[in-house]
Amino acid sequence: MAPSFTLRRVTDDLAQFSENQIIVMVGETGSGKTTQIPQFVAYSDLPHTRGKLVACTQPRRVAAMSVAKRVADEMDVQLGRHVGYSIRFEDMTEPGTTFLKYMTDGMLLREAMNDPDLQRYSTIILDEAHERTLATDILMGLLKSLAKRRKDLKIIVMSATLDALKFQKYFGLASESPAPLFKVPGRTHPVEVFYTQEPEPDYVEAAIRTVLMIHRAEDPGDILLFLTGEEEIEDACRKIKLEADDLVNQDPDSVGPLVCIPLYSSLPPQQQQRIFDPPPSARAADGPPGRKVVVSTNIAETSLTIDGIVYVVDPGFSKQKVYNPRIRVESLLVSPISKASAQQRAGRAGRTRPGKCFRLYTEKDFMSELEEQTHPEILRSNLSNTVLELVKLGIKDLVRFDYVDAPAPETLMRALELLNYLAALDDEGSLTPLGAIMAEFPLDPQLAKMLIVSPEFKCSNEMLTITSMMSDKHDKNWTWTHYLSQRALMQADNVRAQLQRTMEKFDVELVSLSDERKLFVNIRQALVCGFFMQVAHKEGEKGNYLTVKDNQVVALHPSCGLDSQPEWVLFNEFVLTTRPYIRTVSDVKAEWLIEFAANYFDLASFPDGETKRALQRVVNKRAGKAAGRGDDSGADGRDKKKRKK
Amino acid sequence: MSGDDEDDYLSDKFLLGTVPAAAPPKTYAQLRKEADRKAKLKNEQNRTKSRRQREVEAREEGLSKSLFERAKEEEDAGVSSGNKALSMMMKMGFKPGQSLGKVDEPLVVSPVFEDKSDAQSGAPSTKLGHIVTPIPLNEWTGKKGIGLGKRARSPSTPAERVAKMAKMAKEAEEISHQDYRNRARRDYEEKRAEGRLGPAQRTCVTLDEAAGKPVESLYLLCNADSFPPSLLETLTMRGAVGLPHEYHGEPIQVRLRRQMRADALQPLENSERENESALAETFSPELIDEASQFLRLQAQDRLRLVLAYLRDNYGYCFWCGMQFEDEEGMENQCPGPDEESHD
Repeated sequence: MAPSFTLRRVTDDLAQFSENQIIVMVGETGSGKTTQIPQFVAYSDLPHTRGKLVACTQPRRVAAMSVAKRVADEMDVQLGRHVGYSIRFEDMTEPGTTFLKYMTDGMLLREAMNDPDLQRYSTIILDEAHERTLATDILMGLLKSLAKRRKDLKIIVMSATLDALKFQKYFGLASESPAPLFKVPGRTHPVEVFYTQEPEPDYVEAAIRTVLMIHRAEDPGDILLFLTGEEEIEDACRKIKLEADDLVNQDPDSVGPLVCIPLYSSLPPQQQQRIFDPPPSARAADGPPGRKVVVSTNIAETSLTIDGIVYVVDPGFSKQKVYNPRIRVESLLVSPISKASAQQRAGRAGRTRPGKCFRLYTEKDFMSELEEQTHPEILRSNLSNTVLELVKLGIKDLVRFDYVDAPAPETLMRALELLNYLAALDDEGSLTPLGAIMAEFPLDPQLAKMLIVSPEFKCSNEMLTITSMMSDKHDKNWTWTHYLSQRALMQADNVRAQLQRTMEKFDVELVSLSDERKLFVNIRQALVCGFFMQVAHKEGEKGNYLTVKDNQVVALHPSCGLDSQPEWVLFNEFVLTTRPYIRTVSDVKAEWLIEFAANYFDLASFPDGETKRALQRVVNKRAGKAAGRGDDSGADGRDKKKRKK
Repeated sequence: MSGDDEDDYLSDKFLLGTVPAAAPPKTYAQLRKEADRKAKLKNEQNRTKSRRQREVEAREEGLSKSLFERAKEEEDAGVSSGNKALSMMMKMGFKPGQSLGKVDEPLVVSPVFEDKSDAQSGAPSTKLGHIVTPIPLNEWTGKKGIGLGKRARSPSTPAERVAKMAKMAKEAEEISHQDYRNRARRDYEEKRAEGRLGPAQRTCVTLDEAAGKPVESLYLLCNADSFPPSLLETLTMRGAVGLPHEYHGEPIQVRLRRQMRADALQPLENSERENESALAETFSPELIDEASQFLRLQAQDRLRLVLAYLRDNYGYCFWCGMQFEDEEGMENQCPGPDEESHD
C-alpha cells in the first residue's frame, strides 16, 4: 500500500525542509503524502529526543484515526504508543512516547487555547489545507504569527490542488518572497475531459443518458456520477437500472450487466460498503463484461476513493451549506460547483488508469459560469464557536486578525452578539469568567451555557446526556461514509464521561430531580438559558412560525416529532432546504423567555410586531397577577426565588 | 411590515360584507368588535398569499438589509441604544462597509497608494480581496443545467472590481494605437457614451436608494468633475495602469479647460488638500481606489459597468428604459444587453 515515490526526491525535499521554517507541499490525493511525509519528518526531526512531537492535522476525525492506524502498521509500532491520534472525545496517545500524532484540525485549535505557543510540537503539518475547513483556516492564521514567536517551530502546509500559490503568498515572510513550494509526485493518470455542445435543459436526465451511452459504447471500467442529494440519487439509480435492463434485453450480446449503487451520507454503513463490491461478472464467459455505476453526492469528490473508476459524469452541481448572518439561517441548496471542484471530480477518473470525464455543460460555461474556488468554510459558517475559541486564545482584535480569507463582517457581528447575550463576553468583547469555562467545553456555546446553568435547575444529569447525544451529530455522517461501526465510533458514553470530567473540573454539580413532571419542566427551562436566541412564535392556526426578531416565516421540520403546535418553540437549527424549516424543537413558555432571558426579550428594545404584542400580553398578565396577589406565591414565583438565591 | 398591511377603516373592502357602522364605535365592546373584525380581515388577506410566497418575501426582506443598516435604524428609532456587537467591532477598528482582515498600514490615506504595488503585478492583494457582504443564498430552481439557470454571484470584492477595471483600461490603451479613422469613430462613440453616462448614473442612484444599499456601487457614480483632481492625479501617478495620453479619449484641450475650471473654483491649494483628506476619511480606501480606477476608464467602459450593474442588480435595462420583474421576464422581453440589439 505504501506509495513508491523515490526516496531521493524526498530526501532533497527534506534538506529544504530543514532550511525553511514554513513550506507548502502539493500532491494529488493518493500520492501518499498524508502517510509518508509525516514519517519522514519524524525521522529527520527526531522530536522525541527533545521531548516534543510532530503533529499532522486532518479535517475529519475518521481520517485522523485511519491514517494513524496505517502509519503505525507501516512503521510496525503499536497504535497509541509511538504513533497515535487525538480527536474530540478520544485521545489515543501516550505522553512521553508518542512522537507522531495525527489529530483533527479542531483538536489542535483546542489545544492552542490552553497552550497558545503549542510548545509540545516541533513540527506542525496541516494536511488537506485545500479543503479550507474552518479550523484549518484559523490554524493558518495562528501559525503564521506563532512562527515569528517560535523560530524553532517548523510548519508544513499540504494541499492537493494547484491553489498552493495562495498559501505560498500568505505564508511568505515578506510580500516579495512567497513560501517555498514542493511537489510530491502523484500517481494519477491522464483524464480526457469532454464538454457538451449546448447547455442541458435537465441535468439529471442528461446524466442518465450519458451513463447509458458510456455503458453501451465505452471500454470496460466503472462509472462515477455526481448528483446532489438522496432523493435525486435514488431516483437516478432506479432509472439507470431500468434503462440498462432494457438495453440488455434488446441486445444481450453487446451490452453487459450493470449494477447501480447509491452513495450519500445518510445511507446505512452496510449499504455504503457496496460501493467497494466488484462489478458484476459477464453473463457468459465470452460475453461483454459487467459494469458498476456509483451515483454519489460530493462525498466521493475528496474524501473517499473508489478503485476501478474510469469514467466520471459531472453535471456540475452540489449541495452546499451556507450560513447567512442576516436571518441566521443555514442553507443547504443546490448550486453550481467551482472550477476547482470540477477538476477534483475529473481527477477521480484517473486513479487506476487513464480515464474520461464527461462534463454536462459547455466549455464556455465552465469558464464563465463556475467560480474559481469553492468558498472556504469560514465564509459559509456560523462563527460563534470559533470566536469564543479565538478570544480564549487571547486574540483581542478579531477585526484585523490575519485571515487567509476574512469572513463577512456581519457574521462576526452575529457571533459577538450571541456570546454577549450568553454572558461569555462582556460589552468590551473581553472574556468573562463564565465565557472561559464555556470555552473549555468542546461544544457550541449555547450547549455549554445550558450545561453550566443546569445544576440551578436540578437537571444537570439529564442535560449532560442530552448534550452528549446532540454534540456527536455532526460526525455521524463521516462514520457512515467510512463504513466503520457507528456504535463503536460514537461512543456516546465516552463523550459523556469526557464532558463530565470537564464539569467536575469547574465544579458543575451533577444533580437530578425525582419528581419527573417537574424535571421535564426544568429541563426545558435550562434549554431556554442556552437557546433563547433561537425561538419562534406561532402565527395564526396554519402551523406557521415566525422566528423571533428576524421575522422569518418557517415551518416545523417533519422530523420534529411534536404532536401539537405550541405557541412558542425553541429550536436547535434553522435550515433552508426545499423550504425554511426549524429542526429539533422544544415547547417553551413565554414566561420563561421573559424570566431567564430578560435581556434578549426586553420589550423596550423589541421590534414591533405580533411577537412583541404576544410577549406584552404575558408581561401584563404577570404584572396583574403579582399586583392582585400582592406576593409571588405562585408556583412560578417559588421556582424563581429558589433559583435567584 | 405590519404597518403596510393595516387596512384602511374606510376602504370599501372593509365595508363589504359587514354591517355598516353608522357612528364611530364608543363603548369597549364596540372597540373590541372592531379590533376583531380588523384582525379577521388581515388574516383573510394573509391567507390569500401562499405560504411559500410569504416565506420568500420574509426571506428577501431579511436578506436585503445588512445588520449595520438594521442597527442604525433601531438606534435612530430609539429602540436601542446602539448595537453592542457592532460597537465592540468598532472598538477593534471596524467601520461598516469595510471588510475584516489584516491591514498593513494604519487606516489613513496611505493604504490606497500602498496597494498599487500589488496591482502592478496584476494580482489584486489579498488584504483587499476579502468579502464585505455575506455570501448570497440563491436557489437553483429545477433541474436546468449549468448555463441555463441563475448562478448565485458571490459578492464581488473591491479588489476584483479594481482588477476588472484595470483590464478594461489596458484594452482601451491598446485601442488608442489604432489608425485615424478608427480613432475618429471612437471619439464620436465616447462622446455619445459620455452623454448617456449621466442619466444612467442617475437611474443607478434612484434604484440604489430605493433598495437602500449605497456602499456597493458608490464608485459607479463618480465623475471627474466631482472627484478632487489632485487626488486623482496622485493616484494616477502612482498607479500601475498607465493613463492613456488622451485621457478618457477626449482631446487634451477639453480636459485642460475643465481642469482650469475646477482649479478656478478651488483656488487655494490648501482647501483642496483638506477636501482630499476629508474625502479619504469619509470613504474607505477601497472605495476611493475603485473610484479612481473607474475614472481612468473610457466613457464607454464606464457606461458599460454602470449598465451591467443596473441589469444584474435591479433587472433594469437602460436601453429598454424599464425594470423587469425577474430574470425570465428580462430574457423574454429585452433584446439584449447592448444598444445595437435595441435598434
